[in-house]
Amino acid sequence: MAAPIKYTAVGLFLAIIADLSGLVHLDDEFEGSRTLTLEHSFTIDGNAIFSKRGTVVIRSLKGNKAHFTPASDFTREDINLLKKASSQKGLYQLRVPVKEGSQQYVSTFIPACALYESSLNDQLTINFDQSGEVLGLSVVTTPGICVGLNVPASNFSDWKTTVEVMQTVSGPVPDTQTYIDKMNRDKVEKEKGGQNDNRSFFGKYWMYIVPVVILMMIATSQDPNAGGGGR
Amino acid sequence: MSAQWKEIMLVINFLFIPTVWCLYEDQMGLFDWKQDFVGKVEYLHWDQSPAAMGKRLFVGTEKNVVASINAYNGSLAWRRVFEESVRGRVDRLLYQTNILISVLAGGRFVRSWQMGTSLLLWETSLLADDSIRASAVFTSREKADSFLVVTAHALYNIKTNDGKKIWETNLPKSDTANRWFIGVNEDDTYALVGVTPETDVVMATVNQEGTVISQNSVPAPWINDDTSCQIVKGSYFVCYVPSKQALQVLRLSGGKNFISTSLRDLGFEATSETSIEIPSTGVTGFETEIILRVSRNHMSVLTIEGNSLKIVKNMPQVSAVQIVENEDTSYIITLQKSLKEPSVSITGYELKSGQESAELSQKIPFANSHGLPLKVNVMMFTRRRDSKIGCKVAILSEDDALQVIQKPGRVSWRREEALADILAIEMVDLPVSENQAKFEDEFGSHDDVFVMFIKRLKAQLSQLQSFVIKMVERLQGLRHPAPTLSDEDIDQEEEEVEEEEDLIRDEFNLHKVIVAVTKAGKIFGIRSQTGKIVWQHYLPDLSPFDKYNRQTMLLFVQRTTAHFPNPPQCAILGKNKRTGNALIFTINPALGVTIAGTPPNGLDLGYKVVQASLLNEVDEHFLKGIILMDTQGKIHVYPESVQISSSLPSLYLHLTDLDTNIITGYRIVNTNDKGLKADEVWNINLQKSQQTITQVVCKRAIEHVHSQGRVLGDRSVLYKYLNPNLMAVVAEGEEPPSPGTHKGPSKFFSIYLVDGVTGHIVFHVNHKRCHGPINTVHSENWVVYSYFSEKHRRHEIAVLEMFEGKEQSNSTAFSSLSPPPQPLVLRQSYIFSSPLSAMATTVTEKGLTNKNIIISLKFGGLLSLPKALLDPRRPAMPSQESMEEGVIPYIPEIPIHTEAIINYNRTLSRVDGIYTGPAGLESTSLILTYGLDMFYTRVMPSKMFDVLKEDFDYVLIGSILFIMILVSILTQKLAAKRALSRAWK
Repeated sequence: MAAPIKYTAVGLFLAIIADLSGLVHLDDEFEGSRTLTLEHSFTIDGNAIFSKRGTVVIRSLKGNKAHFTPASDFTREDINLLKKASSQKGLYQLRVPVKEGSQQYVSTFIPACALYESSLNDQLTINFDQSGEVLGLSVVTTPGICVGLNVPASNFSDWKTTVEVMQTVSGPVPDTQTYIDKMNRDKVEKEKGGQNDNRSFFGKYWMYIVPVVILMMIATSQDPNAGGGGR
Repeated sequence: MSAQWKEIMLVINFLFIPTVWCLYEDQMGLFDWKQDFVGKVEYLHWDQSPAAMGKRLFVGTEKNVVASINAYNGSLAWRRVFEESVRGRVDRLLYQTNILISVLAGGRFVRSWQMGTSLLLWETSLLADDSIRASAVFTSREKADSFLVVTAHALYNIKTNDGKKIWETNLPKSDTANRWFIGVNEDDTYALVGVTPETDVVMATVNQEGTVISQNSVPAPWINDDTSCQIVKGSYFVCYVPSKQALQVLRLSGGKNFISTSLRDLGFEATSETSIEIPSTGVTGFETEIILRVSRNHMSVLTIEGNSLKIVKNMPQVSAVQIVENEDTSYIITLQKSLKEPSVSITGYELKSGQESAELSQKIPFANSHGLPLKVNVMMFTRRRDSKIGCKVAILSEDDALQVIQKPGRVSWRREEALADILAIEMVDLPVSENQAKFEDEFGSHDDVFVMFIKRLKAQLSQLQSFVIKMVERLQGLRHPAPTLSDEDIDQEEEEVEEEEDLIRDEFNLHKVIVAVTKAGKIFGIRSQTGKIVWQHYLPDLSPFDKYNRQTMLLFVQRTTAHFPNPPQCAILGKNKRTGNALIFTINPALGVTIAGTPPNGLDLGYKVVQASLLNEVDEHFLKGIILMDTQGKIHVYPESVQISSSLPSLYLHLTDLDTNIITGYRIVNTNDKGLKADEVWNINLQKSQQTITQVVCKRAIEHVHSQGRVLGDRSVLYKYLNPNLMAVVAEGEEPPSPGTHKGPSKFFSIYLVDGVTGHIVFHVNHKRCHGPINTVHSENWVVYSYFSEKHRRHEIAVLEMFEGKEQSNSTAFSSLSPPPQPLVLRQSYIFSSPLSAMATTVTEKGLTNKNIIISLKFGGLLSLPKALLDPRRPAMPSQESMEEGVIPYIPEIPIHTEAIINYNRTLSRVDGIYTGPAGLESTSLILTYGLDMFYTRVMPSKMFDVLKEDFDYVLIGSILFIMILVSILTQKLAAKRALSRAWK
């Protein structure tokens, strides 16, 4: 999980490097170093107008390495739009193209108030399949619930965004090998146990046999007395 | 150390071997019932053999079944179920005196059956293409010693007694023709007509030695696979062309082109049902007349004289016709449904003279719920006593039912074969008894004291009244209800009187009404404890939604029985056969009466529906609404009295587009001027280029989850990820063969767990070199699915289980908009040693009982498997902690214990689905499997913890209690006495 990255010169620099590396390793789809344009919209009454929010740079699908670089500052206009959408129970919608430059998008949404009350603290999840195609996008904010807070405008200076990447994992397969290993180990252990205990019958069970024998002896020796008593 | 493990494992194994499911021999059939079906009948023959004349019926059906039905009571004498795929398709069922031959899969399997026992006498395999239906006919009308089969490749003449090929001939144009018709000429040559769709027909004449004497081809651009055609008198080929509304006649010997005769010229008005009728035996070749179906209930018999068509008999109002021969006289048998009363009149005419035969004519009761009779098969015989002719009649009606009349005027039995094709099923509680309902009414309301007092008095008075009535009845003895002829009475005519009274809820709410919606458009209400049909409705216009070759109908329980005095209500949603619009039909499932305001044939909604869902919102009468989305994306609510504005805008819908593999989520909003509207809010793209979505499995709405987490060995709690909006999406695909390696194409499938509100993909997993059919069960916090592993060539079952972790983010409510952190998904897979056809999980009233997975195995068993065996937390190396928790150590194979087969020796063929429903008892879950067979039983996954055992010793417990009380009183007395005497000292 990448820590929230602030919009700094270093970040931009990193993004450029990532961009370049993305170009270099274009055919290495599985590692999937790539850049996706993230667009957003403050939707009121279902009229979505998307504008560029920034780029998501994914450096490694497997290593879950990705981060977000905003395109520009969160302007006063944006703040007003967000406030308006938030007060009118509007939505905050996000989308990324399936491929860079493609007109096919995957999109998601959260209530606009959730973004407003979290003061731009959101967490993106982008899902990829095993060949590196984008499947879906989702977003959550912290906190995720709207309680009707009034957030000062100073909180909206920059995005506190983390990006998570999820790739399709391979399904489980019946684990026969471990089980067979375990069986073998048990067998070996049993054999070992059997070798240890190669004492004679008497050697093993003398503690049971001796009391029985003593008891029988007592019983037989008492018998004539008891008989005599009865007479 | 290891010995200790073994012991523990042994103990655990014993714990999980379900001893309670085993039945004692005398309990067979006590809690369960099974019904066998054959499916919609395509070929029907009366047994004409001298030994068992008219005692049996032989049928071949759409469900790939050949069966023999006992003609006296309708029971199955034997049934042969063939493969479900095209390899089992019954193309022809030939019958003559002592020979019964089935031609399967385009002629690939030709089998002769011993008629009494269904033993296979011989089998032969022909060179065939199973995508093309074979035609077959005996070489002569009576006592044939060979028969002809035409496959995609050649014409075969096969001996009936041993299946040896006498000869085979290649036919002209056999590479393009995909339908063949055979006719037998009077001069014992065979006329063959091959149809190449949208191009031409080819005619060939073959002599008895198997050489093609003549051949000719005639262009016929109007002909296609559905065109109904027939060879008449062995020398004419007749087709009906719907686009031209005309009959086309071709003379087979030297005909150069088709001669068209418009239906108008014959005096008929063409309808969409107009076609040439295939006889109920399904075998053609000897016809001299054409039976033309003009409309649903207008038939006409035509013949050809000198190249022109002539009407032999025109029969408006008649819906089923058969031409049958008895001792050299041909008769036309017609069936006419009465418009006024539920009855059908059967009339026989002599074909030549057109005279009505009084001996054949009769009137039988015929309920409206059967629709119209469509086909009839009459077995005529001349009685020896008085040399009068008599007949036995088998009728196939629009609702796929088969009925047989043994004695004139009365239906001996009927088989509701529509039940072999159930598309939607629900179990509905029975209503409470009248007195109990009054109590509910009394305590449910919040009236003032005076009104409540009056109610109390009234309730007690009515109790007294019913008591008195009962006593009087008991004194008078049983009375039979007065006979009146109405639709319902016909159905209950044969049922015993005693059963009619108890359609009320039992003590533990174990008895229910099963509502089944079938492909034929018939809806049944079935008593769950006996399997008897309580009510039935036939809707002629109702047909299933049919998209991507998947047939679905929807059944919603809009109101349960819990809201007295409002009656329960179910809604059936399907497609209107004629208009293509959505058709909705509402019914009271307990009594089977249509809800007031619903048209008797269902309400056409006037738009096509792409998505429908039951709402949680109720109107003032506790009726749940149904939300519907039409093709324009407009949202409708049925009934309109349900107001959903209070739950807006937190109502979401999703649509899955199989053409693009894009799932789109919508939020429903209320626009002030245009009504309800669906706004697109999310979409995910599941890569159509690689795979296709095959299933979307949501959780059941009636499911309750009792426990929020699992207690681990160290007494901490692992919380379940319980997202009610989660759906499991299954997509199957095929990887192209990679050029580098020498592997062929390999199939794979993926499972996506998607939140239906936000489109968040919670988890996705991919199985390589595995393929379906995939059975998925989605419940609580887990998904169980079965698949076939190509790599290991075995069936496997995998389980995904989701946990939030050791802390719960929101313990009061779940919101998809502020979801808990990414769940921990545990997964494990097991070998399953038997192929399976369907899976379901048990449901109980409160979700307290353990879950069992009910699996129907292809060999006919129904396995009840504890979910604990499909637990991804089963450790490979058991530790102290896992033992304390009671997790079973991992064993890669799931055992199939014979004790866990809950249908004991009653083999279930071709199970389409398993329905599970809760009973009033928490321990019990009701199970109904449907498909070719219906089987009902109940299971107790955690044993019967809430019911005393049958052999519970009441006397012993009672007497001990009594003695204890006695002793305590005595000792008290004694103690008091003693204390007193001590005080005196």
